Amino acid sequence: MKKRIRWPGLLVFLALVGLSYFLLVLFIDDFVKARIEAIGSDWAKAKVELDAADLSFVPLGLRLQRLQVTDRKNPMTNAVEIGEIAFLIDPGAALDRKIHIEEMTVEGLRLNTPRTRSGALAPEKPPRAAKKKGTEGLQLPALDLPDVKAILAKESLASLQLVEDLRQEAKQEEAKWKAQIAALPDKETFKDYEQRVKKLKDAKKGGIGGFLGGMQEVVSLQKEIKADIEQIRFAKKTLKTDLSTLKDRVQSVSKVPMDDINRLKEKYALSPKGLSNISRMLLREQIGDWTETAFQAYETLQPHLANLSMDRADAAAQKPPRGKGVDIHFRVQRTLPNFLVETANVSFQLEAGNFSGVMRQITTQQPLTGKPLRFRFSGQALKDFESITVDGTVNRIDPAQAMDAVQLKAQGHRIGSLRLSKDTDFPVEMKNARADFDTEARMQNG
Amino acid sequence: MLKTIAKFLKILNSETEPAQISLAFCFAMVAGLSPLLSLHNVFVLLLVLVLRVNLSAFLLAFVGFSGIATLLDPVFHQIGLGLLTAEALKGLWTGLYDITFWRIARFNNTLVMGSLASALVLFPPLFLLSNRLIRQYRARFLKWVQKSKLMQALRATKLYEAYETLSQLKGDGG
Repeated sequence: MKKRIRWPGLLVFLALVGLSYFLLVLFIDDFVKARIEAIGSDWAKAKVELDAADLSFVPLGLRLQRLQVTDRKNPMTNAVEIGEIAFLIDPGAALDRKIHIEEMTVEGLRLNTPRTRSGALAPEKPPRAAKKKGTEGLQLPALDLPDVKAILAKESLASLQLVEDLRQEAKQEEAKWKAQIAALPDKETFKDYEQRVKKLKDAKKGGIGGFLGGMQEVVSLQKEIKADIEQIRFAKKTLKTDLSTLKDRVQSVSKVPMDDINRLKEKYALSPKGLSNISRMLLREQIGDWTETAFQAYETLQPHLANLSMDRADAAAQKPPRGKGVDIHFRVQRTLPNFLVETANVSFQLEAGNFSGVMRQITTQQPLTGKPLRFRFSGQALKDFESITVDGTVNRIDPAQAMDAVQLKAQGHRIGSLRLSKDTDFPVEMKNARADFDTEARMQNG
Repeated sequence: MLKTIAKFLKILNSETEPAQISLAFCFAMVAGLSPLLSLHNVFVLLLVLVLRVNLSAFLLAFVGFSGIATLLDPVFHQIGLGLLTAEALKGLWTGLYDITFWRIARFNNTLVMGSLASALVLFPPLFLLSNRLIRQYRARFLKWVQKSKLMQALRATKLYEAYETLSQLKGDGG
């Protein structure tokens, strides 16, 4: 070759790279917005809308404006509406198919906001039935923490029901047997037989006529005695069977309390489901509903999050789609969880007022980070309180020694007119009062 | 089809050095056999544009190798899978996996690995073989082809004329 290098080619290459970058910058935001709406709608099974998406490359981050997730049961309402979400992503982790968000800001989070257009995906479903009585509007935490007895009182326990059923059944059996025993031949009957035998013996002494008449009586007596004995035998047999059945029932019922204990442990453990149950129990229906909404969102995301990791063995067993191949993942020293938000600054608006706070180390794999999830939210100048602060820790670093704690500090609870004594001679009425609460809940080993 | 044959014959019959055409075939093989949107293909594009390889030969061969790649997909997947799961290479792959550049290069994809490894292995033999074949063609068959009825017919077409004019304007580079 006369000249090995074609310098204008380098210019063409640079021009091509520049053009590609220009086109990428021009269209990437719309592409990201469309993808989030499509994937989000697919995951949430309800329309997800986004006003705008802004992707930055240096540093790698994303800003989403007005994210609306339709309530799938009520298409004219947004289950969640978020004013703005902004976060930075670790590019290295992203290549490892892991979502590692260094800092996230969530502003203007609101629940159950009305929509101007229906957010139904498929043919519209009938709107959700009217809200349950007593759950209208926001009610702040009752602050009267129920103890285990209260939880047990509110729970319908299968074991208690079974014991009650069994007691009723035993009572019915007892009544049935009392009636049956009453119907069985008793002492009187046998005394009567004795009398009749005696008469027959006397008749024998009365000559041939008396003897012949007595024969018929003997046969009849024998039949009656035989029938009575058969009746007693049958009753004995049935009693044995009934007793055996009752014994079995008692034995099976004795195992049910443990099932109840296990069920309650699961229900009120600090799992996402348990959390919503505790919230409903401690903080009234509305907050329970919110937690349930969050839990539903988590359940929706869970299968997708589970797909984020695939090891070599999985990949080898997978048949690749044409022209795509299979990505094989290796275990590197820098082991990050599949999903990690190091810091999330969250602000949300409730009817009672505005709250804001920080959540740190949000991940489902704490053993990998070695750090517990911590959160702190506070609201000032609220409807019925001067301030509320919630501090919490969810520690699952060692799953065998889980330790979770929540501390609620409420200050300046305004208590209105309250009659303390109805006595006409000495009436006492409190016109105004303020109360401070300091509550702490701890859970150990789930 | 005629256009393709015309282009191909034009390339072979031109005074372009055999190495320029052979190198174009080899680069086209790398880019054509592996998934188009791979990082190494950006590097191939840079080399094709900067090194004096025959661009027409590259484009023509690229189309041909892309067609072959579709048929060989399962083979490349198996080769890639074999390489990426080989115990002896586990340390190497794990080391590369920890480096962002290699992750962007998608070396851990079975198809990328299989096709790229195959193309790189075939690169030197293809270069030498096509060099030799082009030389042999020019020495033994060129005159015969120039005189053939097919070539006469092709030369008579307006397309060929236009192509020739354009080539003369561009020079040897293709």
